[in-house]
Amino acid sequence: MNLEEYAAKRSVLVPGGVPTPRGKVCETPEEAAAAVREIGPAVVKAQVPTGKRGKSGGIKMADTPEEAAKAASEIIGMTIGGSQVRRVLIEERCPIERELYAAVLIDVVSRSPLILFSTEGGMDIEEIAEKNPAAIRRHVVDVKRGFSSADAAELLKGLDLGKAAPAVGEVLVKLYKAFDTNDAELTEINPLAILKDGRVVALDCKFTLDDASGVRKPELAAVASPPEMTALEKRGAEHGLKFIQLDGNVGVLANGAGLTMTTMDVIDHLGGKPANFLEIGGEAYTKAEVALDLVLSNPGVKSLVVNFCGAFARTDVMADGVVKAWKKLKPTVPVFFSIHGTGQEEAIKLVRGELGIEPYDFMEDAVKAAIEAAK
Amino acid sequence: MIYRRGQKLLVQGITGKQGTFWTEKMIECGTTVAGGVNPKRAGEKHLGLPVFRSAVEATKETPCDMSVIFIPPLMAKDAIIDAIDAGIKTIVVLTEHIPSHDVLEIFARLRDSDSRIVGPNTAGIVTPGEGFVGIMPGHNPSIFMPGDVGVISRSGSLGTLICLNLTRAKLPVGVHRHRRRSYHRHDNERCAGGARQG
Repeated sequence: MNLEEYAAKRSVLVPGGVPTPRGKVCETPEEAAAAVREIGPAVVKAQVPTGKRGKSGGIKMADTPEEAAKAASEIIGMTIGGSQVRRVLIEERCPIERELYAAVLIDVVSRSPLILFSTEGGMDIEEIAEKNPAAIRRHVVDVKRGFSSADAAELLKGLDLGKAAPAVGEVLVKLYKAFDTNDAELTEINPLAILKDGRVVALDCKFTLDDASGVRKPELAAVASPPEMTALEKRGAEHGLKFIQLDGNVGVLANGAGLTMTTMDVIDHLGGKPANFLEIGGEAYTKAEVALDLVLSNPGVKSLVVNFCGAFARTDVMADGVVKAWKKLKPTVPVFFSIHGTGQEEAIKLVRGELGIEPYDFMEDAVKAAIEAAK
Repeated sequence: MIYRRGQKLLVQGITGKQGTFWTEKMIECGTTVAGGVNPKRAGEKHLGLPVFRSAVEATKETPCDMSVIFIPPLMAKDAIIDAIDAGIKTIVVLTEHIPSHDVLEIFARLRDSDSRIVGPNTAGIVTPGEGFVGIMPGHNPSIFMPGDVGVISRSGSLGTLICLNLTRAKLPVGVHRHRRRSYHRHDNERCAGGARQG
C-alpha cells in the first residue's frame, strides 16, 4: 500500500522527527490560494502514489495566491501514471543548496533492511544506478542491532557533505527507525535537501506499507491510496478475489497463482491473448461461481479456459461452482476444461454430465482450442 | 529438508480446523506425528496425541526432527522462534501473509541457529511412500509416486501439476518402482518485497 507524499510526511516523517517544509493539503483552488497567503511563495504538488510528477506537469511554482489557485485548478483532475489527482500539497519554497537521496527498503537478497544513500539526489535511484553507480552507498542492517549514529557516520564517511553531515546522519537514523516501526516495505526521501541556510529537509517522501501489516497498522492503512481498479476488479476485491483485467480475448479461470500465470503464459505462447488473471486457489476455491461471473462479465472475453489442478483445493468443489454458475448465467462463449488432481473423477463426471463438455486431458490442448474459438 | 519415514514431526497449531484435518492426512500417509502445540490446551490429548505448551516443552519430552506451523500470520513469528529455540532443524511454515518485518526478524534468528525454514507460504514437503508435511495431497498416488526425480517449485498448484505429469509419464513405463523419488517441494520462500508471485 502506497501513501501519497502528504500522508507519508504527516504520518511517518513528522512523527519520526524528520524535518519537512511547512505545507498544507488543498482540494480546491480557493484552499490553495489561502494556503499561499499564509505560507508565502510555494510549490504546488499533485498528490498521487506514483513518481514522475514533475515531468507530467504535476508540480508548479506559485508566488501569489492567484498563481496558486491557477496551478491547483490545472493540476487537480489531471491523470498521472493512471491515478487521478484529487488534491495538491502546497509547501513553502525552500532555497536548495544540494539534493541528496536516502531510502530504506527490504532487500530480498540479504533478507534484511537495506539503506541506500546518494549525493546525487533529485533523479530516480534507477537513473543514478545507471549513470553513476559508484555514487550509491549501501548498508545492510542487522535487525538485531539496528542502525546507530555511528553506523550512519560510517556510511557517510568521505562524502563531501560539509557541516550538514551530522544532520544528514541523523535523518538516516530517524528514517531507519521510521521504516522499522511502521512496517514499511520502502521509505524514500528524494530529494533530501541541504538548504542554503544549512538545514536538512525532506522535500519529498515515498512510503510503502507492507500489505500483510495493514491489519496491525490501521492508522497507516487508512491513509494509504486505494489501488486504481476497474469496476470488475473492484467487484473481485469485494469477494476477496484477485482479478486483473487485461485486453485479450481468452478468459482464464484457474486455481493457484502459479498455475494461473502458467495458463496465461501458455495462451501467449500459442499465439493467443489472455483476457484476465484470476485465481481461486487456497481458501478461495469455493468461490468458483463468483469467479466465473467476473471472468464472463469482461466484455473482451470470446472463449474461456478453465484449468484446475487440485491439491488443497478440491476440483470437484470448483467444478460444481462453475457448473452452477454456468447454468445461471447461460453464457454463449465456448469453454474448454482441463482438470487434474484432488477430486478429478467427480469433477470431470460433473462437467461431462451437466454441461455435456468433455474436459481435455492436457492443458495445452484446452488452450489451443480456446484460442481457435476466440478468433 | 527431505522428510524420511520415521522422522518425528511436531504440529504447531494442531488443534485448529486445518491443523486437525491435515494432521490426520499426514498420519494416514505415514508421517510420524509426535504431538502438537497449543499453549491454551497444554496437557490435553488431541487426535490421541499429546498437546504441549510450546515447542521447547514438547522437545524436552520428545526430540522432533521437523515442525510444521499452522498458525495465523500475526502469531506465526513467535511460533517459529519457539521452534528455533527448541532446536528443531526443519521448520515448515505454511502461513501466508506473515508481515515482512516479522520475516526479517525470523531470518535474523535463523542465521544464529542450525534451523532452516521451508516457506513461509509453502504448501509443504512430500516424500512419496514415506510421508508428507504440509497441505499437499501426498496420499494421492495419481499425483505422487516413489521415484528418483526431485521437484522444487514456488507454486503449490503448479508444483502439483508437474508431479502429476511426471507420474503420468512414468506410469505406463513402469520403471522407478523400486527406486525412491523424493518429490520435495517448497514454494515461495519469500523474504518480502520483491518476490510476490507464486
